[in-house]
Amino acid sequence: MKKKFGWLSAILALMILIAACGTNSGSDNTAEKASESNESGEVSEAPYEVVYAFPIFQSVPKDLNLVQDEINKISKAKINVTVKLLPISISAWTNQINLMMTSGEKLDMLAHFDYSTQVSKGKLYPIGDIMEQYGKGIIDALGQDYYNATKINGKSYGVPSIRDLAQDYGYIIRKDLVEKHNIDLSQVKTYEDYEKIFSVIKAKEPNMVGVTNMSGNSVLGTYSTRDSLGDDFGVLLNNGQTDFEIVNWFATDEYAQQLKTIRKWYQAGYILKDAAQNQEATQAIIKAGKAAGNFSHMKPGFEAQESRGIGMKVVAVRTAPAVAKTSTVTNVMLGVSSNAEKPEKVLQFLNLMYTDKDIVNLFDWGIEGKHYVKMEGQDNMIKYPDGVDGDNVGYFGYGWMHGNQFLSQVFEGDDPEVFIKQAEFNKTAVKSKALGFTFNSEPVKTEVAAATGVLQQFRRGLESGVLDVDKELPKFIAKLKDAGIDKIMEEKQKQLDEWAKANGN
Amino acid sequence: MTIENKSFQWIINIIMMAIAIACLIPFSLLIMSSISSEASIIQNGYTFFPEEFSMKAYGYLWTHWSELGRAYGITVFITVVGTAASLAITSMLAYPISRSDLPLKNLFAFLVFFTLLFNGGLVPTYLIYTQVFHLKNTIWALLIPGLLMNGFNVLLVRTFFMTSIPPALIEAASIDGAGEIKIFYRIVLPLSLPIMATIGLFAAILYWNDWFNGLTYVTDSKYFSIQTILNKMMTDIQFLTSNSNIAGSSATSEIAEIPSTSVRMAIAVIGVLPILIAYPFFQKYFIKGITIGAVK
Amino acid sequence: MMSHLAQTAPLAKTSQETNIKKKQGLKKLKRYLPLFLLMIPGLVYLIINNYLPLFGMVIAFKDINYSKGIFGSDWIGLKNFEFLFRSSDAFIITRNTLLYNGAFIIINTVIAVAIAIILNDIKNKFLSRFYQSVIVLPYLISMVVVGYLAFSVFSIDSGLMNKTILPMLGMKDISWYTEPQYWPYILTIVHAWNGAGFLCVIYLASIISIDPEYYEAATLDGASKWQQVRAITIPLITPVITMMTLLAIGRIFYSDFGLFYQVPMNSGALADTTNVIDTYVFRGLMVLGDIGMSSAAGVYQSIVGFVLVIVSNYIVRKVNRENALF
Repeated sequence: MKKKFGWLSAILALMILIAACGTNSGSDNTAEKASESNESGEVSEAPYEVVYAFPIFQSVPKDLNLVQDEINKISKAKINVTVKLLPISISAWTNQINLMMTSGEKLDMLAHFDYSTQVSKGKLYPIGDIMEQYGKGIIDALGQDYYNATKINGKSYGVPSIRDLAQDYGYIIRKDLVEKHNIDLSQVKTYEDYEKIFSVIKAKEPNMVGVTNMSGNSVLGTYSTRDSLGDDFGVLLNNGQTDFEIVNWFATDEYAQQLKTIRKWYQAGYILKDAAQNQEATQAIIKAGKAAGNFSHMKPGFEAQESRGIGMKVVAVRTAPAVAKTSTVTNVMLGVSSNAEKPEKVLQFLNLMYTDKDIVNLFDWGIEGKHYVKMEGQDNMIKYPDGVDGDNVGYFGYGWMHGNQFLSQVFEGDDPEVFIKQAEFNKTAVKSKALGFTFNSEPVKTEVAAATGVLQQFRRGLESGVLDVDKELPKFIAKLKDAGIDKIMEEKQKQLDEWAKANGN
Repeated sequence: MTIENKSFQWIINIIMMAIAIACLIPFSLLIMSSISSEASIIQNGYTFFPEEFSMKAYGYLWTHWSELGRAYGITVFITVVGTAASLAITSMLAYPISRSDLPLKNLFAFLVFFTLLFNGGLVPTYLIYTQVFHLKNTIWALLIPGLLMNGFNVLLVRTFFMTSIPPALIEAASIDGAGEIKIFYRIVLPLSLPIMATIGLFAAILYWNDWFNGLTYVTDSKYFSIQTILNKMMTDIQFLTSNSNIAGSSATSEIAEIPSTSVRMAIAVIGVLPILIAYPFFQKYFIKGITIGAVK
Repeated sequence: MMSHLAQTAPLAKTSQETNIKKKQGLKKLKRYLPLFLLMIPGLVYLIINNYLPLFGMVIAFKDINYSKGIFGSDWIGLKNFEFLFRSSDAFIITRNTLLYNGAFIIINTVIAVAIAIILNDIKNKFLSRFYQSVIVLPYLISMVVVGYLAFSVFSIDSGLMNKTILPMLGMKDISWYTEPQYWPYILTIVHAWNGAGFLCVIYLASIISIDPEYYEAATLDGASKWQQVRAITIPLITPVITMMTLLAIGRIFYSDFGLFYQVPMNSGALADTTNVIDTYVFRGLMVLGDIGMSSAAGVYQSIVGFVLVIVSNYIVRKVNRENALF
């Protein structure tokens, strides 16, 4: 017995030793960081290398390094900074970033999609502190309203890429069906009106349903008339136009009504029977002729984008207005890592991504002549060079992620004015009163975890019409209560009131 | 052979045949689905008799051949090296613990067992391997973390040694003047071929199927193994199809062209086939005859 | 003085004893040195791969902040554990986890041992090899794909069940993914199909190694096949069965995530019979991605498993020392 303890304690001692080493090196790092940021005024000889991690949804393009070299030529000359692109597969993304940050690997800049958590977990450097000095161009490009939307307790920790920052909502349908059956889309004014389309499809196309689910989501999908305030646990009705009173969305009459309508459609055969399990992509289902269309959030140019995805022309019906909410702004963000050695250098580079047309186009389309060519006679339009197509092109980038997309050229097939229209859309969109409020769920994370589980359990079934609303909705509401949604809402209301006061409302 | 024995053989063969069919049917559904056309899958689901055949899924994988070919090489390498190393250190640890006369053997067994239940999680493991041993973006990262040896195999081999190797045999060899190490590889190992083949197979499957190390410890695509790439493809496709607004923004027409429903089946097929080809190699040691009786 | 003497005497005695012990120990050490040397690579690996990372268990008790690092983050006691018990479903998920795993241990062991015994008796070499290869096939298919295959059977629209089998039996359509009562059977069958082959290989390896002389002697005595199985095969592989069962008990709070998440296609309506600890944790943390809470779940599962194994190992020791794990 004694010997056993001897062994165990030896191992324990070893572990503590290692652990201690870990702490030491950790504190060393922060000390270094502090000293270095003190001497930030000096001009360093060697260019600073910015490691920029971003998720990638395909294999890494083979000419990535060539494009990186071209970007570096410009950035080195302008601000003495080079960039190292670090694409990480989306399947490894969250893990990889967590691991890199805990182990202190070099990481300066990253794209992210869950702003609130990233900030509350301390992953991001508060760039708001140095924004006026190094990131003026970003604020100008973004506009003060949208820049303010990124502030948490008065401080910005990241900036959205410039793309569609608001969303409107509606339904897309195959154009050929509309023409063939003379469907009058203009008669659809409200959500309930969609039935007029679905019933025609049901009658005329026996093998097709009127609406399919959004892939990986319910039939209702992202269709929204509320400001979810991030997570839907406590929302502002009427797109946040009325007041600051948080309500439980799932217990509202409006929600119940939406569900009942969906259920009615499901029973009438307007919806795929497997809508709550279906694993296929929406586009594939529509392309295969199994459904006529689907609900979605939208933006200018959405029809062209979806037509390309489906491979058939589609038209859109919009029934909910364009609204800008914190969630529509912060769902794709760029930020400086809290591990960054010289945040000011990183921010300078980020600034280039919002102001330098050449850098943006390198990021989005690659090298001119090699990965794209300008279209003759059309300013700002580009296409693939001869002999190059989507399958063998050596580079592709995600314009919606890498900084200011509005500086990007437009690819053949899109509306030449798509970015101008999107900029206008951002400007004219209705703004939720709570635009700029970011909920910090940290104080109630136990409840949020439990409630998220409940949401996962009921939502897709109910919002696809598969479950009986009268029976399951009360259960859903009761379970959310059990999980502590009231506590979440209370915390959220508190934070929102404080925010509103601080912002002069 | 007596009549009774003959009918007994008939009965057990029928039972086994039924079980074999139960195992094969889903697998053949898998293969048929991988060569069905996209539209027919969406209309009718995965079926044994698709309305329309299509090799598009394999065509899609073929366009990634340069990537996949290299990855196959990496996978074969880590599977062979990893399995050999795993067999060596697993049996070397299991044998002493199996000896009832070894001092502290229960403590060691406990130490092995303990690792099966408790683990520190990914974050500390990653810290140790990348900060202390600097394995990130090396081939070692695919071989060592988590895969090289596991407590389950050690305990399995240990139990086998305990039950199948008579202590008298070891004693006799010891009296004849053979050292412990010689006894281990000249007597114990040859008598244990079936279990060695078993855990060898398990280790090989583990190495072959591993994509996690590739995603965790490797960001440089030159060290991606076949399963890492296949897994990435699968999640990428899933992500692209369920986030059409993101995917649609990129100009590549690729997304619309991916035969996503059949590709995931094709991916499963090309991931499994090589293991099936390697299987007979392990099976060779599953023969009766190399038994204690024969040695004695 | 007296007390001093009284103290030294036993001391002297013990030091003498330890001397002898030491000598014996040295001799023992010399004898077993080669064996200890053999163990070194394995033990070093366990220390690096399994024991050193254990310090990470502190994450379960911390509110991780990446700018502060693991050790600089604040301690928050048991707060990370709260969500495991927060839900009104805590009872259901614990019950499901235990019942499924309990059933899996029994059913899979019985099937695997039975198949192994049968396989060992197959005389035809070719067929025997064929069966051996085929039964591990299901183990090689990932659960995601198994989920798709199951969907092709249970799909409401186009599934084999609703389209072909039920109409053939003259029965009405069943909405499989919203009716929880069928899933305990479906999941148990899928699990047996997926895992029994793997287990069977292990038992087969042990049965093959049984000395044929035992069977020869038994046949001479006129023992029937069934008697041989009961008197020879089963007792001789009992240590392996016991070990496998003990290991499975240790992991009884863990569950095959793919089986419970992918195969029911993450259908919430089935939660009553398909929600287990791992799926509950996954669903809850999907959005938060909190490593503190996921680590807490792991610690909880480990500790329960650990206690159960220690208890069962103790019982096994009482019954038969040889079969105990340690």
